[in-house]
Amino acid sequence: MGFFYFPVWTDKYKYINILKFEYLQRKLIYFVTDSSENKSMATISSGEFERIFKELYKPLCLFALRFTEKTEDAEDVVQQVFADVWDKNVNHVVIANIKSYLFQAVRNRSLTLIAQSTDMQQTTEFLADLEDTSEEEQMYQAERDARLWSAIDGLPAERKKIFLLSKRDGLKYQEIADELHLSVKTVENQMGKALKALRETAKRIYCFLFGVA
Amino acid sequence: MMNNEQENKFEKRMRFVAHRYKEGALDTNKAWEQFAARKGIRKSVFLLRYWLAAASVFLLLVGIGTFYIVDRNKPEWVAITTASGQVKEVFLPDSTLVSMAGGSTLRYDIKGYGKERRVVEMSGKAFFQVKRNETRPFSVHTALTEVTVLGTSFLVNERPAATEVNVVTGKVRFSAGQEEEKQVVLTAGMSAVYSKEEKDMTISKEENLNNLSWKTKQLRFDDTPLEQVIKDLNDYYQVKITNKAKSQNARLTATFNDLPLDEVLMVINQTLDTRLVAAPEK
Repeated sequence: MGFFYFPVWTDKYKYINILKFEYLQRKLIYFVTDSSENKSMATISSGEFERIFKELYKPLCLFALRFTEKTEDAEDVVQQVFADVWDKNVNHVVIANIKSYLFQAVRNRSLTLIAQSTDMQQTTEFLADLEDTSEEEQMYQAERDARLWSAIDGLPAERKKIFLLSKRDGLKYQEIADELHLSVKTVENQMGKALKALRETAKRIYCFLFGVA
Repeated sequence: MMNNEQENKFEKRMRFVAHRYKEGALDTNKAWEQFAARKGIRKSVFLLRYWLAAASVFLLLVGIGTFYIVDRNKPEWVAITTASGQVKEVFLPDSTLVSMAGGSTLRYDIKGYGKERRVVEMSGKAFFQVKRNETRPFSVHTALTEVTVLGTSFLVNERPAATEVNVVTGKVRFSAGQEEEKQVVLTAGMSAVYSKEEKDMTISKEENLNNLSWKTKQLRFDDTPLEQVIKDLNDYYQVKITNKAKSQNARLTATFNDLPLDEVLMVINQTLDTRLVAAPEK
């Protein structure tokens, strides 16, 4: 487990710097400056940009959440990255692989953010996990996480509450039942349905990817 | 059908997401609105996409509709043809009776027939007994002419050089010519011929007794000049008859009920002292 290699904070900085160096190397490949004189128009139309934004916003946030604990921070990072890409776009800087670039930029900004933060509770656990997965695998996982997030969003209010009390806040079924004035049976039942819905979501993604019936 | 590895992975991802989950966070639409407001991206482009989508759906529907209507109104032709010497009787959908002489064709659009008008196209020779219907005029089109009626019986004889119309009962309108339209109204007993070469019409009030002999199988002559007798015989037997004797002013009164040509000629030659000889028409 990579987890064991990164408990010391100095190591964390070293690791971040290595990641940043990789990123800078990639950066050279990403940018191709458009030589055309027409500066009034963006290279990607705003409609197309909106499509990309809407498609990748959630996955990028979930990717950022691997580094940062707070959703506010993650959303800020993603907004900043998109703003940066939009400015480049307006200035006719063509980005060769925009999806890949966005993920790299989110990673870089997130790492900067946690490096600046003095909060040592930041999760190094997930940093370690990232180390041995490929770039494609990371993007794919972020997309899958985004789907799970949406699936949780889509749960009925009561079921969602029970699910979050259990999985997020770590409450036992009995404790949830007491807090919500429900029977343990009901809690179990609702949990079962919630997990089934999420599992269906995950399964659909597997089927889509590997054609497993 | 998830195996253990997948189940573990799922559990891990679910825990990760649940841990980070916050009610109302990561709202893509809200984030985009924020972003667009900050970067001054107008919504019009976004709306335009929807307009384009709506417009294409609309166009598609119009296209399908048009195709459907065009397809429904596409004529479906029914054609009837007779071999040389064959006589055929055909009932049209409105029970109009058409008697077709040999070597004729008749066609009509079964979908459009009787909708607003009753239209048939023909070539050759045909006798029409039209069912009366004043709201839906009946018309016969030939290559050059058009005959329109409400309900009568009449004969149309279309030959390469001319088209002839003979009215037996009722009233018909006979029109012809493309650039310079000629039009006449014919009543019972009248006939008109439109000549292709002269581009003109000639009307005659004389009734030809043998116009329908191809149908009735009867040749009638009532004080008929020999010239006309030869013409009618040529028409009926599809031959070319020449008179080898000089007896120009002879007139014939007789009735033949589908007799062989030899016998007819023999009777005429004996009666009028002529020498009519037949040669088959080429």
